[in-house]
Amino acid sequence: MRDYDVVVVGAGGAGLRTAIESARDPSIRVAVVSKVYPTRSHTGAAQGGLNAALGNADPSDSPEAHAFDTIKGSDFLADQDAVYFMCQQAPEVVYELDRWGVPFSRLPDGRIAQRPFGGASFPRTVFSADRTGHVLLHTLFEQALARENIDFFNEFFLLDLLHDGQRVKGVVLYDIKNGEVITLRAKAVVLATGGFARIYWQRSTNAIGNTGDGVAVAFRNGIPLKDIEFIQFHPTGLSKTGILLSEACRGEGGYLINKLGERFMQRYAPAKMELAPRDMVSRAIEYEIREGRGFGEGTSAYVLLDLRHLGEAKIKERLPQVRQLAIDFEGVDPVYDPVPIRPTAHYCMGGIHIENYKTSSTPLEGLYAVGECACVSVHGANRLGGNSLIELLVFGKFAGISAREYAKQVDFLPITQGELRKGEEYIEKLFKREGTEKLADIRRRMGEITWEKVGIFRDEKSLSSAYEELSELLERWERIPVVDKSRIFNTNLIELLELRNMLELARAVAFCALHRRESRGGHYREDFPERDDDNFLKHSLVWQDGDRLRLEYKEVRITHHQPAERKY
Amino acid sequence: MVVRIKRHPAGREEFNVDMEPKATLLELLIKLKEEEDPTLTFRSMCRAGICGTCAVKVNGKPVLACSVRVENLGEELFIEPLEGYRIIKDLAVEHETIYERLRLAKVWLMPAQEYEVLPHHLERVSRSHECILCGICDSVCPVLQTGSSFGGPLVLTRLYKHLYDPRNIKQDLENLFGLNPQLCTHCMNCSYACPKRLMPEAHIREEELLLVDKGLLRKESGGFEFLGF
Ligand SMILES: Cc1cc2nc3c(=O)[nH]c(=O)nc-3n(C[C@H](O)[C@H](O)[C@H](O)COP(=O)(O)OP(=O)(O)OC[C@H]3O[C@@H](n4cnc5c(N)ncnc54)[C@H](O)[C@@H]3O)c2cc1C
Ligand code: SF4
Ligand code: SF4
Ligand code: FES
Repeated sequence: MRDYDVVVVGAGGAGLRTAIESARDPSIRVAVVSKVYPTRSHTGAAQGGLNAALGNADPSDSPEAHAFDTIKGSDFLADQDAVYFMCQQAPEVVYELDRWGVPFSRLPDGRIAQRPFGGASFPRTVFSADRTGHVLLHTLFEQALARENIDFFNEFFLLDLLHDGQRVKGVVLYDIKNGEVITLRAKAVVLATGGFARIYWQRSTNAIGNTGDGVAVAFRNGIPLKDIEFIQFHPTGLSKTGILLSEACRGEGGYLINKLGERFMQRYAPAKMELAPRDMVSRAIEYEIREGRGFGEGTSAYVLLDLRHLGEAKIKERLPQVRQLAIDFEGVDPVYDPVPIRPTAHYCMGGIHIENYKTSSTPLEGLYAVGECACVSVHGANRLGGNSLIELLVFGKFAGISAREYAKQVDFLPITQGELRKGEEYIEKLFKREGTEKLADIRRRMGEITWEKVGIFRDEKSLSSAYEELSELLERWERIPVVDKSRIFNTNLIELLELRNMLELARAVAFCALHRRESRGGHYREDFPERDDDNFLKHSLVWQDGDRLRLEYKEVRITHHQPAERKY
Repeated sequence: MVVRIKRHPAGREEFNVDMEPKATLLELLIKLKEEEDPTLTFRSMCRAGICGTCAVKVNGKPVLACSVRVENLGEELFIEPLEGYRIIKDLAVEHETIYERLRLAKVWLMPAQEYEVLPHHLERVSRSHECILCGICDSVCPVLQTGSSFGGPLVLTRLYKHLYDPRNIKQDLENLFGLNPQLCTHCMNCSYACPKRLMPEAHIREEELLLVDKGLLRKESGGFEFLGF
């Protein structure tokens, strides 16, 4: 057992930003735990950029305008005080990153450039070509590496949290490389383990490891999750792999075409056509597929994204990465052929319930959560592009401060022999387990259920049957044996642990979606197609009590803008 | 197609699979793990060529498994772990050394309080920011594999971006000197192999010249002479 003042689990943008802030006091010892090497984290895949009202591209922009756009985009489910806080802090954290060496694209006079983005009333998104997340992640990693009071636990997998019901005491980790279970005792723990959009296994833009482990561990330890029924589907994922083609495809004038050769957006949004908001376009594509006007069938159905009319020169100049991804991963060159695409699960608006947005604290004392695994909530029912990266940085910074200051005030709590053994016993049990179920089958089935029944269209029937079936899969999970008996780098075991986390979360998503009888942002109920502010202008909070799920609703904090219809 | 995989520790090595021609090598590995042998071990994360975790060797050539299509690899495949790193299990090799060498070489920026960055400042370092730490360049570097005091293409490419960044106040020349860029033989292996086409060799060439410029190295015909710091 080792002692750390602050243990940060997760080394994506959120975790690294938090660790750097906590480590600002050299007397504080910080551990950063990650199941993959920090620079492999999913933050590196973000392309577009992050939003901050610097006013460089248009001086009339302001944090207030940023906040309004975010609240409107959220379909009024965001907590408005938290949104204002984020938008006001955003410029400063961008300048910090610039000092640390992020190569932001510049205006000719040297100021940071900004580009327009969906749902934003001014060009506000700062970026570094089309690899913003990558340079941000690597810069944060190097800055963390430079700090002597940060230790890295690379390729360590979070198994469990230790707490006494009131306060957190530490974390239990599985060392992937050596197969040992270790405990880190901590005064403060920050979860920054990212999203769980991989519950849509076959149709996700996310990295293979975005399985929601931290969210599931918190959930099992009695911490409520907030608004997890809200999942964002991106309209243009590659058909075969779900790899994301940036929004720029539509921005630059790409057409969406069905089997009959029609630009079908005419039917759904005749004015905006392909440039309608993400959720509307995703729904339109799925309608086409359902009406038999798509290509292919089932989970492999698709429509076409046609860029050919833009011409070779424009495609090469404006959409080089999009072209490369289409060639590498779909085997299609958009200069000569239309690209098969389909909406794809992209982002989790919900997550671990944050009680105080200024500290990112959860209901368990000493436990904080930041990034996509957390729900502050600033995204409400629908996140705007570019708002996730800024969320990581702003709330990472303040969570880092809070964890550090908290750690200075408290002592370590004792950890019992039983607690020390628990993790090892659990792993032993898994190794000994017998059964004939197959991991890959259950994972695939989960992906089918989530996609077909908890996907872009939902209704009472689909959701309740999804809930039943996912509960069944959870039972079957108990009978999947660990085929690989080795203790060294056992990815078979890791996949099994991840699958349990995904199944538990998927089931909770179905449960919350079932009880939200309205349509708002990313949550669309065919049986309740309208937004219902009278009954559902509320956050849903779900608890896992043993095997049962329990729901409560909590008021949204409306401090500036009264809910209005979300029209673009 | 017939797929052979070098295993460590010993395990099933030969597989017969049907793959759709447009499938990637990573998809093939996943299929083998899901359907044939769950003990088969390899790393993957982004599956989009950006996280740098999935490098392996196929038919003698180092590649990102997620970014090559099987149709371009022939009917018979031989997959091995990357060279130059300790094998942990099957295709998973030790990555800790990559990160440890970055730490030892202090590859990070020390922020200035006041600075001006113009677009052309960043143009120069733009490509070196794209390195994904996949480790492929180091695995094909003959100089590094002989265990000399050469820093290697990976670390030298990473350091490059800080050498020319107006926001950095750290004296990276000293660091650079310690990494001995002049030991590079300019064989170009690294530049041919880098999956991101970052031309590590070209960066190293400039770094050598920088040391010459600063009077820390003298260029002799056919080689360099150490001058010392
Ligand atoms: C393709 C794509 C493009 C995007 N583009 C943009 C964009 O342009 N702008 C924007 O604002 N947002 C964008 N997003 C969203 C944004 O990238 C993510 O929401 C954000 O990066 C999440 O960061 P994070 O730090 O919370 O989590 P991650 O970066 O996912 O990091 C999670 C960390 O937790 C660790 N971890 C997870 N589980 C465990 C465990 N069990 N044990 C130990 N460690 C664990 C992982 O190893 C990792 O280090 C995009 C998302 C996708 C999928
Ligand atoms: S060019 Fe230099 S760095 Fe690159 S492989 Fe050859 S010797 Fe190594
Ligand atoms: S320079 Fe190229 S080959 Fe070397 S680690 Fe970076 S991306 Fe990989
Ligand atoms: S899986 Fe990320 S580079 Fe291949």
